Formats: sequence, structure tokens, C-alpha cells
Amino acid sequence: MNPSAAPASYLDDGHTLRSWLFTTDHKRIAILYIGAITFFFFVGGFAAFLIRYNLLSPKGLIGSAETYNRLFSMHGILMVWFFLVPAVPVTLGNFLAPLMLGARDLAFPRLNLLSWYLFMVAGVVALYAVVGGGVDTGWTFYTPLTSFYSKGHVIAAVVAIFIAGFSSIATGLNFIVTIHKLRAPGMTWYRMPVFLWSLYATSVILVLATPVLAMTLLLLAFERIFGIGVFDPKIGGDPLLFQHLFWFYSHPAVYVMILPGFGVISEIIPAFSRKELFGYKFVVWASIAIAVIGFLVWGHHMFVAGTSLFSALVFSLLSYMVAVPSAIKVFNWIGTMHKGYIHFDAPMLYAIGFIGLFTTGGLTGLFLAALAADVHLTQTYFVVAHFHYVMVGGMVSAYFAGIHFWWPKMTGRLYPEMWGRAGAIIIFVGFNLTFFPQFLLGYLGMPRRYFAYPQHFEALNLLSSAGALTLAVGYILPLGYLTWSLFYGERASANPWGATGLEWTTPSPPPTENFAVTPIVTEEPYQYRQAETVNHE
Amino acid sequence: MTAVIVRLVAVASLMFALLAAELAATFAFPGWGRGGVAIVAATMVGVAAVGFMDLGQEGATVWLFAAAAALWLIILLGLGSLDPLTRTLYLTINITP
Amino acid sequence: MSDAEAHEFQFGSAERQHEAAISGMWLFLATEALFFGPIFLSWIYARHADPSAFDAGSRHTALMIGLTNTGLLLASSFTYSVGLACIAFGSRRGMVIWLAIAWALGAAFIGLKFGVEWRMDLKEGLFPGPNFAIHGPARSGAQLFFAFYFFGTALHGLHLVVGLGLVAWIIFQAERFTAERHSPVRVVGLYWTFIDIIWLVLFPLIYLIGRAS
Repeated sequence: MNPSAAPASYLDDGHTLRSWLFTTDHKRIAILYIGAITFFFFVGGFAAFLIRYNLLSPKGLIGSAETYNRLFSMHGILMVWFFLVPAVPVTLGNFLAPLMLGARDLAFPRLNLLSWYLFMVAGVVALYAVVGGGVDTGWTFYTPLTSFYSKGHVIAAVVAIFIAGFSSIATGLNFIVTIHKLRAPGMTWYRMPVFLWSLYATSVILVLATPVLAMTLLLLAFERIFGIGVFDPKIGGDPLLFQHLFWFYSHPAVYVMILPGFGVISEIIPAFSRKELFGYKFVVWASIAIAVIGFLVWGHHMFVAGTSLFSALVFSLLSYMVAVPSAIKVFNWIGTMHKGYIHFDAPMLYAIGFIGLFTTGGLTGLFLAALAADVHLTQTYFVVAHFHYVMVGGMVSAYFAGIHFWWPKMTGRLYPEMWGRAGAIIIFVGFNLTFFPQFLLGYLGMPRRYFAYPQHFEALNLLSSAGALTLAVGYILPLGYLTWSLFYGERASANPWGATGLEWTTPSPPPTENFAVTPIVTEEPYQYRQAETVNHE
Repeated sequence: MTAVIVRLVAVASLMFALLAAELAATFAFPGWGRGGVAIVAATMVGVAAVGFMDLGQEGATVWLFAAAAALWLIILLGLGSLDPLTRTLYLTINITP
Repeated sequence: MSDAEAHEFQFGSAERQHEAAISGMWLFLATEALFFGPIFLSWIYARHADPSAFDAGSRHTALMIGLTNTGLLLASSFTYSVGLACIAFGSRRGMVIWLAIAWALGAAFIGLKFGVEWRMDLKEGLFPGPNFAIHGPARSGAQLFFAFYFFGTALHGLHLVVGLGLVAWIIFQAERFTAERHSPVRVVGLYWTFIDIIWLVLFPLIYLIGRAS
């Protein structure tokens, strides 16, 4: 195409602040979201850093257990609702969903912008809650601590999460309707990239679980304000009802924090193995199965809370079922790599790291789903290590993998490959150094959320804190070189990785209307041929 | 037009008849008890969805969403009430200060 | 009207846009159904804790007002549907009249519920707390009932108020709608009936189950 005739990229379609803050372009909204969640990631990360600093010494270094409680609550609240839950859907999902579908935008572009504003309002309220006094309840807000006894800014935190919830619902609803109604001609369900299926499964959870959390938090706020409510045991209410409702959302939300990661990895592994994705339909239906079965297992968070033995048995059994589709995915990725022509670029390094870390996190989850083992391990650092392997080792790795993979598409620039690989390796090493010792600590009986600990846990805690420092370096590194590449990076071609998918058929960065001509899809996804080499021009 | 209005009048009449049946189940037929009320209420929800919201004329997508709402409510209420309904309550002593 | 004005740029056709609007609203209503889920589950928990005390609380509610309100909402769903049929057959005037009636019926519900019924309940001292009027063995369970009652009806009322705003918005924009193009009227109608459906569940939970058997 004649370059002078090419339509302007979305980045050049207006340079004023107004053109960004009032945009309804899904690509610009994705960029706005990247800015917001990067900020919250580093604020939440700073809290984690202080936690690890405190645990350098058995007596605690920050002087006050109250402060420590507020730190881990802040870390949890910010990381869960302001980084992990939105991370991939609102950034990569927003940017890529219409491009992958061959559409011009999401079905409801104004709703999309509204969801960003809701997210920002929620973020400001959350920051007010944590800065102006803090919350000491943990991210789980269990009653009756939150409804009667806690002195922190519980109401502000609850309001923040309530608003952020509606941002999630709007995003999920937008994706589902878009995938149903805006597929390009020829884009049948089974021709959609796995990333879109993962996004669909994620959205199902966002749309059906988040309202339950929202109402639960309202019930909690009602009880805290009026001093009376359905969770109050003094009048026959049941505090465990809060936990049931909370985990009805929060366990599926765990899959919100990993399913989009599965989608990213399912795009990257075939692209860098130069091979078709192994068992496409299995991967697709595993995503849907996780979204559905994920709703049937929440009780395993409450085995020692005093629920009935019968319900605990039912939930334990169901929890084993959800491991099956996750395992299917892992085998399919490995099957894709088998006999592939593998390129170890940065996204692939992150993806390979993801498989190992996620598998470790997933398998240790089975220990916790087993009734008997859980009684020993619950409320220890074993749990902390388990979910960080899934959330951080899994999702954050996948997020970085995706950001690197689609960076040329989003910005029109290539990132420096050597730095990218170095970052991926530092993060992998730092992560394992931080969290593997926590499995041992938990197995040996160190409880989570404690400000101080016995002397004999000191060595493992030192290792873990050293790992946190390494991890911090690994996270700050991409912030540096990715920003650098925005200005000095090499210009990217439309398809620098030689990958399949409609998003690679349009220029980098894409024009505002995405495609000059609406594409027509004629073949299955992932049509890679072994002999092709990566085209780096 | 007339056909549509006739249908809507029929739906509304059916709803009021069901409301009457609900009251009857509560007060006139204590034998039915709460089960009767629940069945009538569920029927009313279904009639409203089909009669007023035209669920019957919508395509597969809308049916999928409506079915998802019903299924997920069943999960929430079913698995959610499993615990209190099977719990063993031990005798406790209440000391009022 | 040119084709470019007929639908927003992300849709291939006006029909697609209509489908997206309708299915989007249905999906939103699915989230609303789940939004009310915890209220229903808390009813199950609260009643299960002490059924007879919970039912004793339920019998202090004003059945006649609840029944009248149910009738009002059923009638307003009906009138809204008639208004929708009017615009589908090209009668904008008919739509405005019937929607105005639906609006008035909804407003009457709000007036009766919060202006009359809540006032009565509060005067009788039925708001849970230290000054709760019901004493004896049923006191705790009845408080639990009224915690559910006030919370549930407030939330439902809030949705109805939003619905009133939406119906008013449709009435003020009536000029825009024609027999061929009136998706917003249909979308708001879905929401309007859904509020009715939520009430059809709340009504027996509040007024009838406690009085049955």
C-alpha cells in the first residue's frame, strides 16, 4: 500500500489530552488502562516490598503490628482488584479483541470508556482508604471483624471495590456481546483465537460473579453503618454467610486472574514454536469448563471455618474436578512445543516460565483442596506461596509475555530483545527465590499475616526477602526499557513475529478504524508452517 | 395490533390469576404450604419473562444469557444453602452481661 | 436517512446494532439477577436459623399494601408492553400515553412503599436495633427478618427509581422513535419488567411465606 494513502494510526488521531480522555477508541482506552494498572501495580508492589522488609527480622522491622496489618491488606486489595482482575482483559483484551475479531471497535464503546472512569474513581477511593488510615482486615473483609470491630476505613475500601466491580461488569458485558455480535465474516466460533475464548470465559465470570460480591459488600456496609444485619451472630445471623458469598465471587475471580493468562500463552506458544496449537478444541472447552466448574468449588476456602462436614466433602470433590481442564491446557501447550521449531524470544521465555510456575501453583492447590492436608496447611505460608505461584508466577508472567508480544502492535516500536530476555530470566529467578522458601515455611508451620515469627524461620525468610529484591529489579527493568523503546525503539512492521491472527494483518500501530477493508476469514487459526522463519524486517 | 393487545391482556389476566392463586396457596390451602407459594411465584416469573419480555421470540444468544442467569442463581442458592442445611449445631450457653 | 446514520460505525448493519442492544440488556439483567442473589441466600440463612421467629417478624408486615403494590407493578408491566406495541405499529402518541401510565403506576408503588408502608413500619418500631418493638423469644429472628426486609425493599426501590428515570427519558425522547427504529424503548421495557420480576420473588418472601402453614 502507498504509505501516503495509509490512514493515520490511532496514536496520531489527535494529540491533545482531550482526545485521550474522551476517546471511545478501544485501543486508546487500553492504553489508558495500561497507565492506570501499572501505577497500582507499583503501589501494591511497594507494600509487598515493605512486608518483606519487615520479615527480615524475627521481631519485625517496621515496629508496629498494626502497620503491618494495614500493609498486607493494602497489598492484597490493590493487587487483586486494581491489578490482577483487570490486568489482561482491560489492557490486552481491550486492545486486541476487536482486532482479532476483525471488528472496528467493541459493541459499546461509550460503556468501555465509562468502565475506565469507574475504575479510576474506584482507584482514587481505594487510595484514600489505604493512605488515609488504612484497612486492617486483609483483602477478605471477614465479618464480624469488618462489621463491628475493625477501626480502619472499611467503608471507603468497600465503596472502592463496589465501584471497581461495576467497571469489571461493564467490561465483561462488552466483551461477551462483542464476541457474539461483531465477528468478521467467516469468523466462526471455532476460527476464533484461543485468546478470545479465554476472554469470553473470563467475561462470563466477571459478569456473573461480580454482582454477588457487590451485593455482599453492600450488606456488609449496611451492617457496619446500622450495627445490625444478616451476618450478625448476636441476633442469629451467620458470619459464615459472608464467607460463602465472598468466595462465591472470589474463587471464580481467581480464574479471572488466570484464564486471560491462558489465552495469552496459547497465542505465544504456537507463534514461537512455528506450529499449530495442539488440540485447539480441547483448549477452548477447557477454558469454558474452568469458568463453569470454578463456580462450584468455593467452599474449599472454608474447610476449617466451621462449615458442615458434608458440604466440605462435596466442595473438596468438586475442587479436584477443576484441576482437570487446567491440566489439559498444560499438556496441550507442551504438545504444541513438542517437535516445534522453538524461538527463545522474550515472550516465549515468559511463556515457558509461566507453564512451570503455573503448574507448581496448580498442583499445590490440590494439596489445599484435599480436606485432610488443608487442615494442616491452611492459614500458613504454604497458601501464600500457592496462590502467588498462580497469581504472580502465572498471571504476571503471562501479562508481561503478552505486553512484550503485542508491544510492536500497540506502539509501532520494537523493544530491545536482549533486555527483554534478561528481564524474563531475572523475574523467573527472583520469583522462585521469593516464593519457594514460603512453601517450606508453610509446611513447617509459619502462619500467614503475622508480624513476627520464631527465630528458626529466619534463614528461609531472609532468602524470601532477597528474592523480593531481585523480583523488584526484574519488574523495574521492563518499565525502563519499554519506555525507552517508545522513543528510540526500532520501527515495527505489521507482523514482526510472523504470527497468524487478524491483528497482525493491519499496520503497527493500527489505524483508528482498525482495518481499511473488513477482513474475511477463510481458515482455521494457527496455520503455522514448520519451515518458516521469523521475519525480523 | 389487536392481536398483540389481546395477547398482552391475556398475559396480564394470567398474572393476576396467578397472584390470586398465590394468595390461595398461602391462606386457603395450608396443606400445600410454602411449596405451593414457591411454585406459583416461579410460574409468575416465567410468564413475565415470556409474556412481557418476549423471551420466546429472541434468538439463541438471549436464551443463553437468560439460562445462565437461572443456572448461576441455582448454583449460588443450592451450593450456598448446602452448608447450613447439613450443619451439626452443638448446644451453646448464652451468657447475657 | 443515509445508511451511515442508520447505525454506529462498529456495526455492519442496523439490525446487528439492534441485536447487540437487546442481548446486551439481557446480559445486564443476568448480572442483576445475580446481584439480588445474596439477598435471596440471606433470606434462606436467616429463616433457617429460627423459622418460627423469622415468620413471626414476617407477620408484622402490611399485607394489603404489599398486595396492592404487586398489582401496581403487574399493571405497569402490562401498560409498558402496550406502549411498546403502539410504537411498533407506528403510534407515537399511543406509546407516550401508555408509557406515562406505566410511569405513574411505578411512581405509585414508590409512594406507597416508602411514603406509607415504611413510615408505618418505622413508627411501629420495626427497624432492627436496640429499640426494636417485638419482644420475647421471637425478638432475634424478627430483627433478622426486618434487616432483610429493609435492605431488600430499599434495593428494589432504588432499581425502580432508576427505572422511572429511564421511562421518563424514553417519553421525553419520543420524537426519535419510529415503527422501524425503537430499540431503546424495547431495551428499557426489558429492564422495567425485570424490576417487576424481582418484586414477584420478594413479595412472597416478605409477605406470604411467613403467613403460610
